[in-house]
Amino acid sequence: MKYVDALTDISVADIKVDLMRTAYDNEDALLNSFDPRVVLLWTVLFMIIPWLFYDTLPLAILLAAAFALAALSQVSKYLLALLLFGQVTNVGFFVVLVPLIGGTVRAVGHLGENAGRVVAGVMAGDASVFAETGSIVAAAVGRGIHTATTSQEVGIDAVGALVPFFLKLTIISVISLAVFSAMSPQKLSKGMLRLGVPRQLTFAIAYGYRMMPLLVEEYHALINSFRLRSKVPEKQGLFRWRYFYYLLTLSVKAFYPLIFNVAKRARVTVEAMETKGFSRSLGDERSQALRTEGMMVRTRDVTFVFGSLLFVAAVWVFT
Amino acid sequence: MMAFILVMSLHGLQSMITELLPEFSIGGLGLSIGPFWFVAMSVVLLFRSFWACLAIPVGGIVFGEILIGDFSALGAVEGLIVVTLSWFFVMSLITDPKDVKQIAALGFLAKAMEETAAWFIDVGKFYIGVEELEAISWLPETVWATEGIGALLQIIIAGVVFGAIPTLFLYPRLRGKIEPLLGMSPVEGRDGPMFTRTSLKRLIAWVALIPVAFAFETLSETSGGLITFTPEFVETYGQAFLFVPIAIAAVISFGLVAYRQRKVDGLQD
Repeated sequence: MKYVDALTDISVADIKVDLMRTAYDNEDALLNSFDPRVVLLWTVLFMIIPWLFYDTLPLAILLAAAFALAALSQVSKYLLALLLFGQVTNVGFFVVLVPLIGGTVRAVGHLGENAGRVVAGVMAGDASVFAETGSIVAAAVGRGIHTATTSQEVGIDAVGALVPFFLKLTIISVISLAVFSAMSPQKLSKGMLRLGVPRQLTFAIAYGYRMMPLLVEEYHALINSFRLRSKVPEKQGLFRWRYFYYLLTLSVKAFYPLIFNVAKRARVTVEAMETKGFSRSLGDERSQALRTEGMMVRTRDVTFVFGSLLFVAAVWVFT
Repeated sequence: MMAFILVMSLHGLQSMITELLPEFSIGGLGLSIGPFWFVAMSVVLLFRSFWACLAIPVGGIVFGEILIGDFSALGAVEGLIVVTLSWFFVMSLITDPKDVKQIAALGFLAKAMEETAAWFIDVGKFYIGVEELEAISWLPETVWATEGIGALLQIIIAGVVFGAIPTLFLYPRLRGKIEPLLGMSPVEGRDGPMFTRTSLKRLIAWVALIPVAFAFETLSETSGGLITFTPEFVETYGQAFLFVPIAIAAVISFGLVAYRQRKVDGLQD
């Protein structure tokens, strides 16, 4: 039961702390110490590499390596769990849902094939047609159930074929999780700027990093104040649905004051930015040079890229 | 720009919160709470500028993906194109900004357009990505059906329950109050038919750019699947030879970078 407790005990505060840590606490992360351009290009490269493998074993090794990297980058465990859960349900989708809907499609198809005959029978005023209709429907249902049960095996086979596919997707997501939670916002936006991403977008990233804790804090405070001023429903109802409904309406209502607060803040930000000449500097080469000054690819970056490439080559050759 | 920042922050916060909420999963069909589309609906339709439309996907990408760390580089382009254009088209249909019902209905339309496009893209991706599965005869129909049900659920949940209904209450309370905060005056209505030349142009842009979005999405998810990697030298010299090009490239670039680093460090001293 302890594990279950650990799962259900996750509070909003825990998640908040976890989120802040993911976004900000990355000074010592391994990936943060490299040149951001190199890391970005490396990420693109490693989003392609898993697709070159087709067997389960090398993919599993790569996945283990990706997890090691994620551990070095202090990835949030909550997010990692969320990601893995998503992948597992994806596999479950193929075992449960595909046969089910496949069966339905077949049954409907059978009905459609025989509908013509039934219509003809009704037109002719034949009484025996009703008995026939019953048998056709029964046959259709039987066929649907048959497809659903037999294709369970097909579904499981499909899962076997899909395991490498999902492994590849998981590797890619774990890597991107590691990279983007390890890199600090300044480094990330500098690197993107140098690679030709428009300033507006890199500004949005930097702004997002700055505003996120404020917004989360403010939203939480608003929800708490709404909770203080309102009454929890007395009857909880089936599955506590009244309580959840109450929480949900609160979280929707809390957006109303938030919108005004954010509007005020947006205006102040834009005015401050324009005072400092944001729009004028947008297309200016010198401004960009000033911003991305001091970036240089160093020998350790090269070592990192080629070291990881050699690792992949070793996996390729020895498995 | 102000509207851009406003919509981006709000929609981003919303997407981050709903991203972290647990999902109810019924047989694999994810039934998530939210996303709270009413935020984007009521605010974007108030301002009606291209920047506000663009801010919806950007907010989602920055807050919901990059900050959290789950960023799908090329896959994000799909959302950027589809979402922006859907909203940009719908915006041109508004004739009377005081009519709340029209606003809610149009917000719903935008969400529906976007989900439909996403549906086609997902199914198309399946055809390209998982070819061997076409061996099972009924699978393509099944994929159409499941993805369709998923899209429909999304349209109902995100478009109506968390979209149009809250918008009905929120929009009239925001209109005329939030614009002065940003130093603007509220948008006025216009006469004439709903569907104008501008709308037509934007609709054509929507249709034309869906294939582009599709191309990006497929590339991001199955990129390597399309590249078959069998260089000739592997066959002639054996697999161990794979190390040679990597090692050569490593030595050359290492030397180059080390030389440059020396030079720069020497200048600083």
